[in-house]
Amino acid sequence: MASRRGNAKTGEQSDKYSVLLPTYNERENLPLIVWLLVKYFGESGYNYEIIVIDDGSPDGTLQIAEQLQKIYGADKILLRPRAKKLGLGTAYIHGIKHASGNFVIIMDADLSHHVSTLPLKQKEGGYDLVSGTRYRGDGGVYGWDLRRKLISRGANFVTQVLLRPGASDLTGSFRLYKKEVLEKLVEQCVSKGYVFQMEMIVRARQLGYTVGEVPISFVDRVYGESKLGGNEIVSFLKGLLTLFATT
Amino acid sequence: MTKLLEWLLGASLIGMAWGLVTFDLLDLQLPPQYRELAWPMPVYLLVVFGCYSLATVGYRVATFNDCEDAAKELQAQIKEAKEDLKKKGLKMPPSPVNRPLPVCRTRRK
Repeated sequence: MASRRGNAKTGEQSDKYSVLLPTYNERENLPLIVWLLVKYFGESGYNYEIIVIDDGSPDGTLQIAEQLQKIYGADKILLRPRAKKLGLGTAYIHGIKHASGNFVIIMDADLSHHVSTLPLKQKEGGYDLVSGTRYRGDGGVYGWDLRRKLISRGANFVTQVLLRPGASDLTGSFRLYKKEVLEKLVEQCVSKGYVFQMEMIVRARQLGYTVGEVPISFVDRVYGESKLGGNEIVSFLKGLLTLFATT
Repeated sequence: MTKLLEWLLGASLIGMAWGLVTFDLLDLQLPPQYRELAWPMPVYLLVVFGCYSLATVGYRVATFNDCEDAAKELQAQIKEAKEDLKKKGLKMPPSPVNRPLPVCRTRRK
């Protein structure tokens, strides 16, 4: 689907990227992410805004966000907090309502590498959706042991066989969407948590949207290693089978 | 059609074709070689798929990139960010008890 924004030059002037940051207890990460975003967007010259959606974090994340707003300006950092932890899907809906950009960028709290690769790729192919992947190009991970790599690749293989999603990495959440595409998808998706992220891409393909990919380096920053224990695997399989049966 | 239905449809079609040939359901009087060939096909295909899966996953695990440079760069940027933010006046409220600090630890395993 070719971009409808017309001439590339004038298009660049009017493209604006709204970054949605749903946060819960991210008072240490948030300043770092915002700093990195400001740095990369500043270097790239793209027009942007950052929307912090804090779900009533008890650790003072909102206060940090307010300080960041003073430092970087209320036109660049928007605060749209909510009273309590309400989930990712509704955070996106809430964020979209306040987004003034025509593109929306979603990212996990601990992944903020080179955000400018997303708009770049989108412009390259006029994609409706651009997704970060750890599995292609020079994408990858840091500090993962063999067990974790095996589980990750194994789970991804099963996902590819069962869902044939047309994207190499479904569970990542470093993505760029055209705003109207994100609105449509959030409307349609019913899962929770990271299965919701998977469902978004599967439905995007079904609805005929084009998906581009950029390689990302996934570096765990805060929690040493996330536990990939039996519970996580079981809930992943449950989510996968649900998507298999319903999409 | 959901993926599940696609798979069920595909499996039924293949199953019917297999049953037809193996058990000669339409009384086609096919030469015995066909029946001998068709009979173990399901198991054979499963084994082939199993081997393909193992080989593919094994290859992908072996070629899974380790981003040393990205990690180093990120650590350096975190330092830079903290200093810059302090300069700009960011004040961190006192830490709640037992909260882990964002340090990129080298993994041991």
